[in-house]
Order: sequence, then C-alpha cells, then structure tokens
Amino acid sequence: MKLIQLADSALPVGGAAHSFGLETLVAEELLTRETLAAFLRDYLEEIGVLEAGFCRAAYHVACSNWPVLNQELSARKPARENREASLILGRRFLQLLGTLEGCEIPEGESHYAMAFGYAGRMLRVPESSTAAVYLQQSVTALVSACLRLMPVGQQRAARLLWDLKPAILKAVQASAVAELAAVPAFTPLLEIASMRHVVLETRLFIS
Amino acid sequence: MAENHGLLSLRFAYDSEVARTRLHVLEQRQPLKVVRAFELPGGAALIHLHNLSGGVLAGDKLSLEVAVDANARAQITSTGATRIYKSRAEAHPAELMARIEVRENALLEYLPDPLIPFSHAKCSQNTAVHLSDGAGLFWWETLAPGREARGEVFLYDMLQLGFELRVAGVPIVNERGSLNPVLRPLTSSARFGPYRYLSTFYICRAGMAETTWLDLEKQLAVLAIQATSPVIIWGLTRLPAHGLVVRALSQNGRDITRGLMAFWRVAKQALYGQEALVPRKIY
Repeated sequence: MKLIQLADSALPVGGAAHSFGLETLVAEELLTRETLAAFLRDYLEEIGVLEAGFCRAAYHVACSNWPVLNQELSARKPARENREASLILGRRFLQLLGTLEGCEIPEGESHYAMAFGYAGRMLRVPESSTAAVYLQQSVTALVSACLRLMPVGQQRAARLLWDLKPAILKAVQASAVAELAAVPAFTPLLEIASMRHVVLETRLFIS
Repeated sequence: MAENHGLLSLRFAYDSEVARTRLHVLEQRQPLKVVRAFELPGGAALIHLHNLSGGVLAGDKLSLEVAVDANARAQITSTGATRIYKSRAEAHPAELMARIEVRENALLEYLPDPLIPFSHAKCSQNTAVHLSDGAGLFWWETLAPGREARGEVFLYDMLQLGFELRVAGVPIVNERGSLNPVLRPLTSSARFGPYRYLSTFYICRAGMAETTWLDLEKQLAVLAIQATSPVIIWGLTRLPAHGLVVRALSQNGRDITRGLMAFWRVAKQALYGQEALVPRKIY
C-alpha cells in the first residue's frame, strides 16, 4: 500500500514537471498519437530494462556502495536533461520517504530508479514487484506528459497504460537476468530530443 | 573463410628533445596494420589504421590497444569506412575491441570513417577509454544504415555497440546498444525515427573547470541550431563531468561529416587554442 502511494503521479516530488524529451519529439512531429503505443513499448524495452536493473541493484546495495552505483547510472544517461531530472526526482523522493517512513536514507546523489528500489526494500516489498511498480509509474508519467502534449484523451491514456502491462513485466524479467553493466539501452532519438529541449521556443516542461 | 585474430598495439610517446610525438608499434598482427606516423604541425603524430582484409569478416576478432603517454598528442583515422561483411547464419559475430589509455596531459583525436554494416552482418564492438588527469579526447563515430546505394538500409542481423569512458577510474560514459532491426525496429521514435545515420562525438579534457564546459556548450549550441535541417538533427549536452557529447541523426552521411568538422574546429580552439587539422586523405 505504501509503495503504491509512493508511485502515485501526484506524489509531491515534481515528476510532472519533466517530459524526458517527449516535448521535443512531439513539437518536432517525431512522436504522434499514432506512434505513441509503439514508442512506449520500445522505451520499456530499452530504458525500462536498464532502470529496472538499477532499481533492483539499489534494492540490494549497501549504503557504502551507493555513490558508485549512482555514478554508473549517471554514465548510462548521456543527456544532461534526463540525468539531472532523474537525480532531482530521486533526491526529493528519498527525502519524502525518510519523512513519511522515518527511515534512514542514503546520502549524496540518487537517481530516481535507485531511490525507488531502496524504498521497496525499506517497505519489504519483493524486489520484482518494486521494479514493476517503478516502471508502471515511469510510463504513467510519460503518458501524463503526453496528455498535455498531444490529442490523447483520458480513455485512450488508460487503454495505453493497460496494454503496457505485459511490456512492463517483460522488462522486469529481462532486468533480472542481465549483467547490469552490459544492459543495452539504445534510444538516440529520444536522447537528442532531450538535448534539444532547451532550444524549443515554447515549453510546458522544464529543461 | 578463415577467421582473423588481428591485433594492433600502439604507444605514442612524447620526445621532449625534439618536442614531438613518436609512434611505437608494440605489436601488429594481420589484418590490422599501421604503416607509419606523419608528423603534424605542433608535433602531434597522425596514423592511419589499415585493415588488409578490406573489411570485417564473420568471426573476426580485431583488437586495438593504444596508449598515449603523458604530454603526447596523437591523431588516429582510418583509410576508409569500416565495412562489416555479411555473416553466415551459423557464424560467430565479428568482435571489434579497443582499449585506449590517454595519460596525463596527453591528447587523442580519434576520427575514423563510418561503420557500414552490410546486409546480414553480425558484429559486436566494445571500446573502453581511460583518461588520466589533464588528458584530452576528441572521439567521433558514425554508424551508417548499410550499403544505401544497393538499397541496404537496416538489413544487418545484429550490432552490439559499447563505449565506456572513465576519467581517473570514475565512469563518465557507458553507452550500450543492441541493434537488431528485426526484433527491435530501428525506425521507432525512440531509436532512429525517420533518420538513418547516427553519429556521436565526445569532446573531453579531464580537469577543466565547469565554466569552460558551460561556455563551450553555448558556442556549440549555436552550431547545433545552425547545422540542424529537415534532414539532420544535432544535439549536445554536458557529460556528468570533464566534457560534452554531440550527437546527430541524419538521413545522409554527408551532412554528418561536415557538421563533425565544424564542432571539432570550435572545440579544439576553445580547449587547446589550436586549429583542428583534418587528417590527410579524402576530405
């Protein structure tokens, strides 16, 4: 129950302020209502598996190794905009977790996926379930951004998220078997879109 | 066809008596070969990497090891595009490995021609670069969709691309891509979208102040805007530390080459106060 609350899109960590490159893709007509479902599946296949892997790793890592794991994930995120958004959300998330649960939280920088894995451990939620809930909230955030960026209604958004469940579980499963350092994540167009977000003339989301 | 296990082990050393960098070929095993080094103005050494096979065959294991000693300056390019030939279904993927070490205050400019994976090619490429304090790196790589003139676009079977950059042991970049056009459509809006060529250009100098990167990012951002057109998009961003990465997706290769040169010229001037010297060959 507690982890479900922490995965809510209304959690006051600022998740709704970031589009992670989607705003540029939509503005430049590289992502449309018609291609959105396939995009989200591909996102889960690439970034989803990677972040679920780090979520799992953070579930187990000792606090002393936290900065090393965090550096490794930073190195996997070449676009500063996405990297810094992940770090901001992760830090706010951990602070909120510490306040709500009254538990110790890792010091220093923390990516969102890792912070979520740590929360799953603190709340004694199984590792795979934690990773699945993390991915569910990730794609929910992306779909919420799309609600503001393109003509996607609430019904359509609900259908998209409903249909993504098998892709989420597949990504969680893939993240369990792969060697973390070698997990591929190939999303060059999304990365370039993140890099170019700052030069958009009008922006709903922060860079 | 026999598999090749090629190795090229090179060391670039700074000779302070003559203020120039000298090449030492520690080992070379065919089909990889380097013929000689050319001295560049300022004392840097330029070499061309040769593959006597003409391309990369299924099952090949080709290793490049480069050490650029303290204060040395090296420029490495290829003699032409790296062609990854068609592979039989049962053959092992070709493996391209590079281990690069750039020591204190040294500089490496690695400026090869594109990688062209032929129809049904299978290849794994892994590169690890380590920079010591003060070391610099200009490193670009361009991936073509295939032999476009023959109508080959994303017809390769498998490409695994890995690039890792560490500075004083700390990971700065770790990019891993598994490109399988059949299983993972490359035309996805997350991957290539409507584009065909991908290029990445790492611009690094360990230990430079953050303000240097902010200033350079602003300069290069102007270039990125100017160079972007309906057929090519450029983006750039600061790495976690010590540098920037410039990335392009394009519908053709020509615009990428032109753009890379422009970014390189501005960055070399900003970081080293020197002109970027285009490798002597086809440009």
